[in-house]
Amino acid sequence: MKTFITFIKDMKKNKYVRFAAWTAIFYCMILAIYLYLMYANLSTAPKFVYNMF
Amino acid sequence: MKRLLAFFLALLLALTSAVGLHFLAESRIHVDSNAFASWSGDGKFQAREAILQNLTEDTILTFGSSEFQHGVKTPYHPAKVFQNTKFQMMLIGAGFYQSLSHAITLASLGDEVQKKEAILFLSPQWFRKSGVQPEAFASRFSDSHYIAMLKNKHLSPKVKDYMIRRSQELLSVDPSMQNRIAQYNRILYTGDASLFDRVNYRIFTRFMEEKELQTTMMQLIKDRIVRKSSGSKTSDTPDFVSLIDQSIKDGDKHNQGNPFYMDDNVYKRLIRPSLKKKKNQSVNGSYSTSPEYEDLSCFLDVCEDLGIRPMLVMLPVNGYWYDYTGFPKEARADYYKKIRTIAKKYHASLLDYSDQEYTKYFFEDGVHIGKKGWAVINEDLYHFYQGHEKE
Repeated sequence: MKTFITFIKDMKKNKYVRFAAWTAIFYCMILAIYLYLMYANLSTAPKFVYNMF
Repeated sequence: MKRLLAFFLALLLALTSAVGLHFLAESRIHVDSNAFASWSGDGKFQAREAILQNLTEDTILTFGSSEFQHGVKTPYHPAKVFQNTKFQMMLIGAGFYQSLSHAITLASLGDEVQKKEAILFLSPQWFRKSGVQPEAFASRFSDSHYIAMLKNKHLSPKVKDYMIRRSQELLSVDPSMQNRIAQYNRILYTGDASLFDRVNYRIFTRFMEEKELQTTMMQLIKDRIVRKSSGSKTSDTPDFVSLIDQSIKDGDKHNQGNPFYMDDNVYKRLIRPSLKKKKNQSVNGSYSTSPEYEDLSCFLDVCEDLGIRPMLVMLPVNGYWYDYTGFPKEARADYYKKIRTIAKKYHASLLDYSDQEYTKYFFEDGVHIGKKGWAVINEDLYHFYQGHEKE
């Protein structure tokens, strides 16, 4: 456990790991916005309930 | 500084992913053309590009409404009957689609189809006094079909003006969309668009095309529409005689005595709970006066302008149910007469099912086509496709 914690601390200090982590965070954010724009129902039409009978 | 660099790298990766998703969606919308044609998923009707990609030389554009989504799991629905035939009915429509939406869609697609024919299923319920409800029209409105309609050089100004005016009227319930179509009109019709209009239009239409593509792909996956069929398509005529016989036997089996000859499960779930309330509730009912007649004429005007031969499928009402709700027979007869007059005026072919009001199992409920209805209609439409229309 102590080795693991030490490993994590070392990774956090590593500039390449930090850069990759930030890139991953920004990538997820941008992709989430893109997927929302693509798949969400953005219609501004009012809701309509049709009584077929 | 490093975070800024990380951001731009992430942006580049995201753009690459978006491009990848684009190519994936483009390949995924090419599916088995019969499956796509008979698919009634909501993502389909507004996806102009996906419809165009799945047309064949034997596809007939077939417009209608909620009846297309009923009976899909039965062997009588066009999706099953024409599963492996060369003949395809490209079903366009679900609940809330009526003549005006279909006129715009036909104007959008009509120049691209090889088979210059169009089928329109007419539901009497479209012709109530108010016509299409603005909220309903707005909920089904398609920017891409509207834009393609504006771009279509084969439409007469009179017909375009009608569609523009009616769309503006009905979209008053959705000011955002109303402003958008006003912008499209300025850019593509009147020619008095500003620079802002043009830039906004370019960005928005690019976004909209991509969104339609992605939405269609997701719907196709969700509804499990097969990618490619294993067998070739047949020119053999389906066995309609057996189909109609079977529909009657199935109707007997699924109706254990409800007086309207609807499917029992539908009757018990949707009709019986409010049966007493519905008695004579439509004594003043009428389909004689409605803006829907002008919208229908517009659809037929589009057919004329584009050289398309129309076939009107005049669905009846469920006579048993309409008698119960008190809807006057004279009013029903008047509606049928008006449709016949319009069909004659435009030299449109007409499948007149007004004599089927009391045919058992023609309907599955008060308004939607049931087992026998589908079996009979499919046979007649197949003859239309072959060029041998019903006398």
